[in-house]
Amino acid sequence: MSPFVISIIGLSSSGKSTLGRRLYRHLSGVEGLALELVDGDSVRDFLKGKIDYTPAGRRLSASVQTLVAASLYKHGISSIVCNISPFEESRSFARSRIPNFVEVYLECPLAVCMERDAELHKNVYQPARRGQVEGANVVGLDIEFEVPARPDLVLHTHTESEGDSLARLLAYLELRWGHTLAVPTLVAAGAAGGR
Amino acid sequence: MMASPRTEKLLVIGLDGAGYPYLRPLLEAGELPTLGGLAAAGSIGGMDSTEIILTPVAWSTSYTGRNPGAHGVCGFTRRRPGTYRWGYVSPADRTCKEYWRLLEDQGYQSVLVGPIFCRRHEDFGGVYVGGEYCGELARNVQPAFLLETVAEGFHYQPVSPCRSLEEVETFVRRKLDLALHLLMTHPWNLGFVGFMEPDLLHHRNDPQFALEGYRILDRLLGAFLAALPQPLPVMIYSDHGHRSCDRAFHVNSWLCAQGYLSQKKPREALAQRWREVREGMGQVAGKLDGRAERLFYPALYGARGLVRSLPPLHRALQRFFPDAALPNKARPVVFGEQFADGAQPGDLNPGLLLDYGRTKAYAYLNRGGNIAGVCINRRGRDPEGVVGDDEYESLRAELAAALGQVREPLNGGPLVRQVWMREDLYRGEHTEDLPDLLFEIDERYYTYISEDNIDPRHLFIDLRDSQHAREGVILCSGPGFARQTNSAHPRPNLLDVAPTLLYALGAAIPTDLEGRVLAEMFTTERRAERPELWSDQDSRTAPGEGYSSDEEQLIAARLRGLGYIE
Repeated sequence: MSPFVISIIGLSSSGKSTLGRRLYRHLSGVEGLALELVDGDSVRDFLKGKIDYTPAGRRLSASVQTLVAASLYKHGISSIVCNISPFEESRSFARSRIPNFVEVYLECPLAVCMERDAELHKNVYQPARRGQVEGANVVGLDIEFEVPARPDLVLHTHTESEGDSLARLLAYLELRWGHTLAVPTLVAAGAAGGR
Repeated sequence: MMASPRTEKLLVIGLDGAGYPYLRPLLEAGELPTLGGLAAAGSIGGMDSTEIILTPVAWSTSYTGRNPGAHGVCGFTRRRPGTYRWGYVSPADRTCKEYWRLLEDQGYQSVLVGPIFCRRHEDFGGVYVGGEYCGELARNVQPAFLLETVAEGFHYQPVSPCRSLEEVETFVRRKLDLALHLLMTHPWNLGFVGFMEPDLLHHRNDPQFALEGYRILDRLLGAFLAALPQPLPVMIYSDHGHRSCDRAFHVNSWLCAQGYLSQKKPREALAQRWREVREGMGQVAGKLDGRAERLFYPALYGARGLVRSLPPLHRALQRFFPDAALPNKARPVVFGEQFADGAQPGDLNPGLLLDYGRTKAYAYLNRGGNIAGVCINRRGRDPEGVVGDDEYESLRAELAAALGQVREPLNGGPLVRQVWMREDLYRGEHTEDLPDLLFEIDERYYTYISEDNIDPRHLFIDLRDSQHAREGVILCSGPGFARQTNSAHPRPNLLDVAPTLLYALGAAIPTDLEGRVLAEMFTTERRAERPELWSDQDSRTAPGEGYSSDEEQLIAARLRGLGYIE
């Protein structure tokens, strides 16, 4: 299996890390596949104090993750990259640098993300609740999330279960690469479920 | 990604040439798990194609809900008035709106990838990527800015060569990958993805190859559907089925045997053939030096003409080399020339071997299954017409009666099942494009329509081929669709597709559509909550832009390769 980079993007609390981890666990079982999970939060932990949340800092963060993924790719190691990646410019850059690049956009309304954020006590959207949006440097509030121009797959994490999203992603990867990745059956994925 | 004002969705998968009689045992045996899963969760059954079992005719009927006499596509070709030449029918010649344009009139949005026998229409504002018989891809992508993505990003090509299983997989995968991308990045109510592959697989006459090809298609369809947001209503249908036949009825040989058709004398025929070669290859010859022309053309066409002017030799060759001798692929098609008789560049040029001055009737219809058409050589209409108005009706009746007397060679039963006068078969402003009389024969045989190899002593030819059959398939599954159909209803017809699809999306159905809503395909709840809404919406439209000369060459090469024309 050729190496790949799967970039999972979307607003904070849209489900990127959850999906990324599930996908990582699923693909870890594929024989002969060297795989790394590159999570945006881990990168920020690593670069603590050296990178901020301004648009410039976010661009830098995306570039660092692209560099990491591209370096791994060069050595035959695939990766799953989870990052908000709010700017189309950053995504285009990654796509241009990595041949087998898959962009997965988690489409989830801001209100749902904010609700989850409060439930999980992440408090990323706290400024909005306090009515202090200006200068908050939060994507979706004062930093615009640019809707992806060319996503390979769009998942609706506010209407789908985690399992459904994973099944759709695996089905897409099978369609694109031709490898069977233990995709759940169509009926199980919900084709007949709305009856 | 703007939201669609309508919320209903329906995904349609078109499978050219997939028949229920072929699919049923495969589904029962679990060979095609995706289609089998959908069928088990929904309903599946046979669906009648048009009487003229040809791809353009059948798809056009399903798209418009109108009969061929109304929508105007009666074959791959149509005769140029006042000549014996035949021009190509373009999808843009349809004079009725396709269901996606009817939907657009009502505010619905569509994404179409690879619809078969379609062409971009300037009135259509949805996403459209052309498929088989669309012509050049560059003219058939909408919005135009998608062309680069389609052609370079996804390496999409509208025509699948289907030469190997690897090629089948590659082309199907690319199409589905593109379709998935477009369905996810554009608003839509109607999604359509068309596949020519089933028909191409059958035409190869290799059952194992066909089965493997179907397995590939089924597997990739499964991945594609599973990657889409669920639950999603899905309709899968075909334009016709396929059937393997070993013997063909040579219609012109029969007409010759009955005294309705005369061939030119061999010397005249050969001279005519030579003129055809010179005329037809004029454009190419201009690019070659005289030596190449002198060596190449006489060798190629002289040999072919010689073989065909000697029926016993031709038959012997067909027996030993059936595949090589099957279609008359080498006939030149005239491009880049202007003709005094009013024909257009690119027209087909049959009739070179017939003596029209002594011919009352000759066979015509592009090959496709067990149907054939007969043209009457009418005085006043045709350049060398011999049949007057006073004789026209009686001749048609005479031909119909004579056809009823033809016996099939296996059991001696009647060969011809039905004979139609064209005005009885189809209605509308385009019935003049049809042969004067059409007939259907026993489905164990197919009709062989050619002016080559005419031999009044041999009406049947042993020639194995997979031919179009009238029974296609329809499968509906997902929200709103019933789990089992009620067999008490009449078998669905291609005319029913458009009204059913409009109903499924909650749209109004124009009253001039001729089919019915296949109510039995829907759940009781859906039928109760959504009554059929018929409207005065006019489904007629002006023709769009037809094929360019370059595109006609592409289409001609494709049709010759598939054996539909000579």
